[in-house]
Amino acid sequence: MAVSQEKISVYSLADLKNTTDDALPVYLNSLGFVQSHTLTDVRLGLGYSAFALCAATFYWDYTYGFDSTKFYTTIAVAVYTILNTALTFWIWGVEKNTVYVGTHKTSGTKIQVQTKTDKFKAVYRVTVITTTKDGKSTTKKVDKAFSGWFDAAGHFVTRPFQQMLATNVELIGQADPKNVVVAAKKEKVDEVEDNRSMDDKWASLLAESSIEDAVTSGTPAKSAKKRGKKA
Amino acid sequence: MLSALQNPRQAAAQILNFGLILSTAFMMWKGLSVISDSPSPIVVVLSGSMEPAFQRGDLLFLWNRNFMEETKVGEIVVYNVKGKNIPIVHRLVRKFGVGEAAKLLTKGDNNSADDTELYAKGQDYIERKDIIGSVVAYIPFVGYVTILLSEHPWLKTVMLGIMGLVVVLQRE
Repeated sequence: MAVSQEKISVYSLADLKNTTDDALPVYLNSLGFVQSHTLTDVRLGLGYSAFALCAATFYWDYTYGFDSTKFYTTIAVAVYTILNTALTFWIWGVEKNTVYVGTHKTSGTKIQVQTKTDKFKAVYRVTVITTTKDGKSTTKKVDKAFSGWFDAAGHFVTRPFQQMLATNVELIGQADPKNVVVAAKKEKVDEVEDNRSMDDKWASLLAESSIEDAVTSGTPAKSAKKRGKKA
Repeated sequence: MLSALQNPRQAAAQILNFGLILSTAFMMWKGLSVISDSPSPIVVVLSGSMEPAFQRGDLLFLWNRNFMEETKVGEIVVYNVKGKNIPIVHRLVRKFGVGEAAKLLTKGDNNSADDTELYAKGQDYIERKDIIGSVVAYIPFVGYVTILLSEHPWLKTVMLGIMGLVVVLQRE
């Protein structure tokens, strides 16, 4: 389970992103989030009604000719333009590359995940917006290289991907504490204001470097291989 | 690729993307049609009968509305003849009467005789309603592809083959 059967080309950014986007709902749903499809459904609704309108126009134009259907065709063209504009607005203004919307079963916290990639850069750019029940919303942006959860052959490795999300997003971390990596503490150390004594700074710097050593000794490639053998 | 088929929403979205390309192209054509009031606002010249004005393969843009003035002698018009479904591009050379009932005669610039031979049997003139538009603009040569495709059907097979190959070679 840890490594996907299917292989993708690691040089195809579209493949990297699509495979990761597909894995995201599977993971979040397994953590007790209930996925909401409203955004997709509205988009499909708008799109298919525009398409149906076009099909109808084609049919009556084909059967009754241009002149006798001119009035209806004019209206159809206007409505199609409106529907298509609404669809474009929905995709750019509302969906904004959203790949997942869900609510946690127990806490009721809403999570919305938007992902994108920049051209020619194998970096997964994730924006997670969480809204608690009482309306407090936080936005977290994470940029991580795809190489973190794809092996050299192009297999998707589940564990590091889940760790990446659980470690960087507090809400996911709470729902899946097992996948939170210790290195997350390093960030907290960085955030602390520097109004400590020289000795304290030294101590923390030493602590940091030892953590870093610990992290680098267990390189992702190695750990992926180990898991591969297990599976 | 396969995972997309397992998820019905994703499959629906993918089909929709393809459908919207087709439907938008069709609706743009219809929009142009409605604006110019012509059932076929863009036509390709098929014969050399209007040389030197138009060559085979020229793309013509038509306008079929009469603002301020009627269609007048000297305009190049595209008309349909009853019983034939190929539109003809020729110049309007004679006009008798006014309005919808005016009797119109057309002739190709490069033809020695007028079009009475081309009209349907027993028809000596055409009327305003036979005209599907006057030529207002043209792009030389770009329509030649459609002529090639209709005259050499094997080219369609070649083109489909190349498209299929491209689809197979680059999976998006």
